Amino acid sequence: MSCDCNGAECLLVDELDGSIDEAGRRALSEHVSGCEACACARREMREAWDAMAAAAPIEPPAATRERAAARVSTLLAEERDQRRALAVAPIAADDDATVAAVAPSLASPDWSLVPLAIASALLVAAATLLLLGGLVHGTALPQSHVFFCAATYTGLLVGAFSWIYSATTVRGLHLDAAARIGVIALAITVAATTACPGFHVLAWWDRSATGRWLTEAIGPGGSSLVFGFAYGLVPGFLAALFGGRMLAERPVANALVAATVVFLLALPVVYLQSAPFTSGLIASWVAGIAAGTLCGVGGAFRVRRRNAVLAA
Amino acid sequence: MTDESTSDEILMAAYQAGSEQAFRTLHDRHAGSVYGFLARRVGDPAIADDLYQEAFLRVHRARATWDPERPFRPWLFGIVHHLLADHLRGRGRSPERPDADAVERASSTGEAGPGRAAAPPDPEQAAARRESTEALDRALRAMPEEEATVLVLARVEGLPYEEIGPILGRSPAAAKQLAYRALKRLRAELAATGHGETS
Ligand SMILES: [Zn+2]
Repeated sequence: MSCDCNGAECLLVDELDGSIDEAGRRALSEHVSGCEACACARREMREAWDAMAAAAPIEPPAATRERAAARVSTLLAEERDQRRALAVAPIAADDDATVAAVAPSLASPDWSLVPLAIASALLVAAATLLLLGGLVHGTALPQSHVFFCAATYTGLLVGAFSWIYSATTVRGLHLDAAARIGVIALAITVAATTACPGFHVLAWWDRSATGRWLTEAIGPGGSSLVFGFAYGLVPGFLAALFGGRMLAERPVANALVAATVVFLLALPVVYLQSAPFTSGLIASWVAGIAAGTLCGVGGAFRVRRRNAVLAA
Repeated sequence: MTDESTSDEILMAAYQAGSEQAFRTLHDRHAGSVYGFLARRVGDPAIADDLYQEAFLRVHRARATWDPERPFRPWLFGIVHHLLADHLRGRGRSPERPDADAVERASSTGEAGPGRAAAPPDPEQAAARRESTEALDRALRAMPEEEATVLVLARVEGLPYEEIGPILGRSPAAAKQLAYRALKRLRAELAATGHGETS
């Protein structure tokens, strides 16, 4: 089977770096034998390809090379000092042991992160129960329903936080045990909210004096704004405080990703439970999440700086 | 463990985790490729030096974005390519500079790098070699930035088009088309200066 000139172009390029296969080779020689233009192009390209051999690497002058290496070494030393001062994620001593420690982790999950994920999950569970605690007093629903739903939300946030911890792991483990917990939590949430449609997560807030005032002041989006803020604040804070290297490099971006995941996980719940599910409601919720995340990151940095000052 | 046999990827993961030795080994390994990539294309050794410093600073700042599942060198050249493109854009592309061949002259006095063949014994041959290298560098500088990049990555660095495509923000097929155009242009540039084989 032969090819047209366009196909031949591609095969000519493949032929030069040797990535052409047997079928391609046959198709090319068949085409070239009948097409003077491509035969000529083949010769010209071979000439240019051979000429490119002269573009071999050039060793930098010793001073240039040493300056670049010294600069990065200084930055690495500064980071080591910073980490020591902050006492977060103790960094490996700078020797072959680091290479030895990292090499196997490229292939297998890092189980040492699981206790951290569980600890964060318990922390979030406590925070969520505090957040939803008002439910018990503010709703007319049977107590068992309220508790069921509070547990559901706890599971939801536990899952989200597990994800945050797995995603901020340094060694490229994006789906370890913690992330699987998150997937299970999402499934539980969807099932539970479907089974318990009478529950309104914003009810107790709407009935409180502050909630009523805010709703009068800025409309029905008020309570969404507040809840978005609370949803963003906690992940933003924890992610920036305890996050791995990824967060050290881009704290705001990564905390926003974490908050977005919380938002997406909670979306079906809010949809099922908010009768007028308007774009304004979503917008105010998102705005609240963004503001809460930024405040959380800011707060975490204050804490880290404070710790650094105390340690110094 | 940081010997010849340790892969770039393992070294990079160790560097991510804070190992200075891993960084030094990686840096030694790729210094010639990165410097050659930059120096040939900017001509001026002082600018090449600046860009080289900036390249490894960018690598350092971006090291958390490297994904251990992906090969190291395409990631490295992605950074270096963007750095060079930024520089050439900012300068408004004045390809020919008066001291355009200073890099070759300066480097020819230095030691031979791993990627560079041993110096030929005959001085006449060496002079001819240097002349053809200088002609090639001039031709590369006269070409559009992406065309020269695709050729260096494919021919000198030996990267497959599946990896070159993403570096240039193109599909692998589009990278091959670019290489096709680039080779034709390079041949024309060389022929115009009398360095191509005239057939
Ligand atoms: Zn043809």
